[in-house]
Amino acid sequence: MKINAEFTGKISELFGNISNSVVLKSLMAGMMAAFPATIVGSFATILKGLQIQALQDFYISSGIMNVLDLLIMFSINVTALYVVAGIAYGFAKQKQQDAIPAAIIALFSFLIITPYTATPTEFGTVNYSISMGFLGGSGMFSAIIVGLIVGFVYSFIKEKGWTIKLPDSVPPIVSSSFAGIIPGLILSVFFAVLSTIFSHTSYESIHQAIYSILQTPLMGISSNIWTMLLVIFLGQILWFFGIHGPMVILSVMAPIWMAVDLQNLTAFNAGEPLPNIIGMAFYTISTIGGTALGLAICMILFAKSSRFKTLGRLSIIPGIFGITEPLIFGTPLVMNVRTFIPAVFLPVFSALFSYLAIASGLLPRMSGVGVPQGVPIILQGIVQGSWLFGLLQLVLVVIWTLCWYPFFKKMDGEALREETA
Amino acid sequence: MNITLVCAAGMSTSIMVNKIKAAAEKEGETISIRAVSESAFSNYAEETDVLLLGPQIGYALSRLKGLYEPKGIKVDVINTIDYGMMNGENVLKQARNLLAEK
Repeated sequence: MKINAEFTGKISELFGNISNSVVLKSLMAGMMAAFPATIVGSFATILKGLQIQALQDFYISSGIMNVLDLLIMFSINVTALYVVAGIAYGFAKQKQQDAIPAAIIALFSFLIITPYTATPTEFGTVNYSISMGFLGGSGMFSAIIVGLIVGFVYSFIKEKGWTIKLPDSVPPIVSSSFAGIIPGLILSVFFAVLSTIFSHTSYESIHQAIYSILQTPLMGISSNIWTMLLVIFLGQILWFFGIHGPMVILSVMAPIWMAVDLQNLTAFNAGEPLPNIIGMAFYTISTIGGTALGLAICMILFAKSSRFKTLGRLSIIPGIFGITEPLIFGTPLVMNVRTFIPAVFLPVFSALFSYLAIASGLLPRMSGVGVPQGVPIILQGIVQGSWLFGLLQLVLVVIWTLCWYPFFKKMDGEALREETA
Repeated sequence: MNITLVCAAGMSTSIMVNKIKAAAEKEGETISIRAVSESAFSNYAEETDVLLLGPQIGYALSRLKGLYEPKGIKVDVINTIDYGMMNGENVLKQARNLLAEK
């Protein structure tokens, strides 16, 4: 047991360091910063996606459709704009710098690298427009890169104290507004020059270059089912050691999977075929709570020992909402060799099962709507665009319960013997 | 006594919060307690005497200790079994003992 403690200590430290890295935390901050917009956009998508003819007719006749389209257009379709500001903000904040200027500079830089077109109007003026293509999912990686560069350079310059020195008599509020000018100048000129250089390459823009060189291959790898199964497996192994594995792993995978989801969501809203089977939504729907809800149901239905009766009552409701820590630590599943197989492999199986159900055409693809935490299982599935996903989750719960049963029965028997002994 | 619980997202610890509150009420003690995500904790450090970590983010203990113990906040990981069984009384006891330590 001593070796175990040392080993888990090391593992904990390693993964603690990974998930605490400034870069990953900034990424998460960026994604979270976009939530107020993307969640509204997601709900609008759900409402718009309800395939009831009478309702759709009413949307159009009442003008509700226009409202929904606006909500979607300026949330889902321009997510990268919010993310870039959020990442730079998160970075600067972690470096204990004034973070709003960093967010503004990031947004500024992001717009600088976004290609625009100038079209002469009939009145002799010129109409400038930027294509929204790179402001949404396709611009996600540029947003990440620009956000991180701006956050880093801004914080670096501020830490070094390179600023315009004003006389002491100038009120601090004035001088602090000057403090953002040097990093703003350096960064915007940097991106403007870079953007000009790239406009002469075959990529035509930084966005396109990042999209072709980085985003497409990375999304290809990440939206591969085997990658997802491996990622789920690793996450569950970490849980076995008592570490919130999915959180660690999602800090790397979530930005990519969210970009994948955004592709689906954009296609969904445009009424086009959905390009991806898996993504963030798929991950959440198919592995919610790491399948431990099945164990809670076993406890409710079959527990004879008072220990598991209590734990079942305690954990069933949170389990329905995808919160399974009571089960993980109370059963416990942590460092428990006898529950290793279901705890680690059942989520992997669930994802594979869901994948096959969709790939075979039995189920449609998921719209990729971002579901806020705390939406109960089954409802969570339904909002992905079809009641069939609610059914999928119901089937998964039944499978989980059946698979957990033999393992639970053994533990319960032992607990009962201990109690009566 | 001001207690703050942190975990990955502040979800499962929020259940723990209710259990601890109930345990304190039963003993006639008024405590102020909240659950937040680990990344949001810095905003609540001012109003915290005891910082308790959900075991799933136990890896953050040494870092949070290093950051907040100098500020006089007691930091510890919640006992795994107490966390799993959502034993509010035991965790409340743990918080009291921490505070009593010199």
